Amino acid sequence: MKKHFRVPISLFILLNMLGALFSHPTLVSSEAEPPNHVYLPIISKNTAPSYYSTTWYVTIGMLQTTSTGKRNIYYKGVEAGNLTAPSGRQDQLVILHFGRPRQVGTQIGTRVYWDTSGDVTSINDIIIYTKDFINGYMVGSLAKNDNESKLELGIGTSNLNWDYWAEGDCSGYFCTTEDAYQHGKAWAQMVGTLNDWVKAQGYASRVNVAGASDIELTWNSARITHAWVDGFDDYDQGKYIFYNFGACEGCDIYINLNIPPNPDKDMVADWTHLKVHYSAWGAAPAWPIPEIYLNNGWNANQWANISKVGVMRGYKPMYFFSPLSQYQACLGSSDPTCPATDNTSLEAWTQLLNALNARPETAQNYIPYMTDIDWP
Amino acid sequence: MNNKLFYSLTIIGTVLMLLLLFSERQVVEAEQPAPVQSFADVYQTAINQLKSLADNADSDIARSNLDSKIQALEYKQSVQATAMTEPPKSLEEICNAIRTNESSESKQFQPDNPAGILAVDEDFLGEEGYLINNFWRGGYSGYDVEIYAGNLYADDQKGLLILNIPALSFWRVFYDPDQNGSLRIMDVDGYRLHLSTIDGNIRYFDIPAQQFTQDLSKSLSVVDLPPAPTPIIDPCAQFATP
Repeated sequence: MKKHFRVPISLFILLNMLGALFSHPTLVSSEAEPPNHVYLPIISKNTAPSYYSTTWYVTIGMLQTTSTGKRNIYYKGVEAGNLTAPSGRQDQLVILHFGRPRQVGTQIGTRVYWDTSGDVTSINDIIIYTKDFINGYMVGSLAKNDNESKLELGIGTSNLNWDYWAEGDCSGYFCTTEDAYQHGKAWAQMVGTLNDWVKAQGYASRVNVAGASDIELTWNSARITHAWVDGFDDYDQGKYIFYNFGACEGCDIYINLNIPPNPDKDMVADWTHLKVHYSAWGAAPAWPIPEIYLNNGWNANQWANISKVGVMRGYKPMYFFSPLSQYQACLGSSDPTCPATDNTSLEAWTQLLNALNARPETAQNYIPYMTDIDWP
Repeated sequence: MNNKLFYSLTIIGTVLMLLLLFSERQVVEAEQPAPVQSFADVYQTAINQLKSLADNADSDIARSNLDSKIQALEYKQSVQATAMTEPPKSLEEICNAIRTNESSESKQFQPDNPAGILAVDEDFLGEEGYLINNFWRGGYSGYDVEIYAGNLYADDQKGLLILNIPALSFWRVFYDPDQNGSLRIMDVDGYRLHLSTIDGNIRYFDIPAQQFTQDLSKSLSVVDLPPAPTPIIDPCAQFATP
């Protein structure tokens, strides 16, 4: 080698060595606002579940009775049961999203998707439709000779008040803490009723029912949302839980190992990081199944940051049973946000696990489920 | 620097870099727990992790929070364990129970679905990002069809129609190519909808062709609908008595 090449090449190697020596031996870049995070591929040795479940937006069509005399939602249960084919234990977590809270007269419940009637799908109706789904699941799995697989079923609503979201001014139902508290109470009682029925039917070795709420920061205030959480908490008998399968709009999108997220950061309206934490973990019955939609991993980072602010305020890290992705809902969709928000269930799972394990204090061994939302 | 020294330094440097890289990897890997198999008991895995955290909890708030979480999971687990001591029900037993309950309990959803051009709450599809002015309900090609007219919530100039055929899981958004405001269905002529924008501009939408046109008399080629989904077999059908 010619001498004049040796000096620059030696310098190059030296710089590489120095770079390796002085770089942070951490999982995540520690820049103040890094444009991208660099994760070492060590987490990938934890094998993801080999399948995902389908979580459903419950539409009016799902509740209609078919020519066989059974409702479409029953067949969605059969489909979920069929997931277990070929036989072998394949537990799954499914959420049935019955839509935003609604009250008509004295009846409270939700408005299911694509319901043009302006009517309410009452709590009693939701109980009947959920039983249909569970019956479908049981016969669907037994027909595949599956006596083992388990179903963790979340019955979902949300914290949405349309006027609050669209105009920033809540009007109508679900604008007072009393409305929200009573709805949360009714939801917890419904979960209890359904679990009692599951036991009475002899399904309890296979099926468990929980509540669920798609809590989004732009959909209602923390004050109203927390009232729903507290209503649920006060009537959950200390044994029923709900899944927060919502979003964390405005939460910190970067994992910064040097500067932790501010628990009291002002976000949408009265929301703070810590108030999100309360609605997803701080409250006794709350468990997070967060929307991990964004392809760039920011949603996963946001929830890892929520876990971190809890730790900063004396809690232990949040435990995540599953991320929620929307790959199937985005398939063929003209939703302009879909190209950036169509994580597969595996991508969502990987992003969330990596983000949680970026900090030792929020680390989680494994995320047991993957669920992906779809329209019927 | 001679060649020998140069190559020696290069080799040493490379070895040092590899050592640095793998030593970091091992340190971080040591913090990672053993992989958990997906068929492990989900509740027990969570309980184990939460209990190990509770053992090290140094604040009342953490202990109280974890105790409530563990309590709920242990309750689920105990219900499951108790149920497992009972003999499992057969498919036929469950199917018979479903049939009995159907006749005694179920609310049969009988939708009142008038056909024609109908009013709907503006926020009817708000969560999906659309504001709807009205909709048309009718039959096409043997299927119940609904077509919603309005605009994109994020842009009121982007008029649109949504064609919904639930039986086919068909849901498609058609944006008005002229994009000059929210659309409203004014009339229907066969399978052609008469639409108006807020400013009174008229255009038409041909349902069989699935496209907008400015010319009411223009003939458009028909677009095939997707095939009907394969019906899901009801496992209870085999036990049904005629």
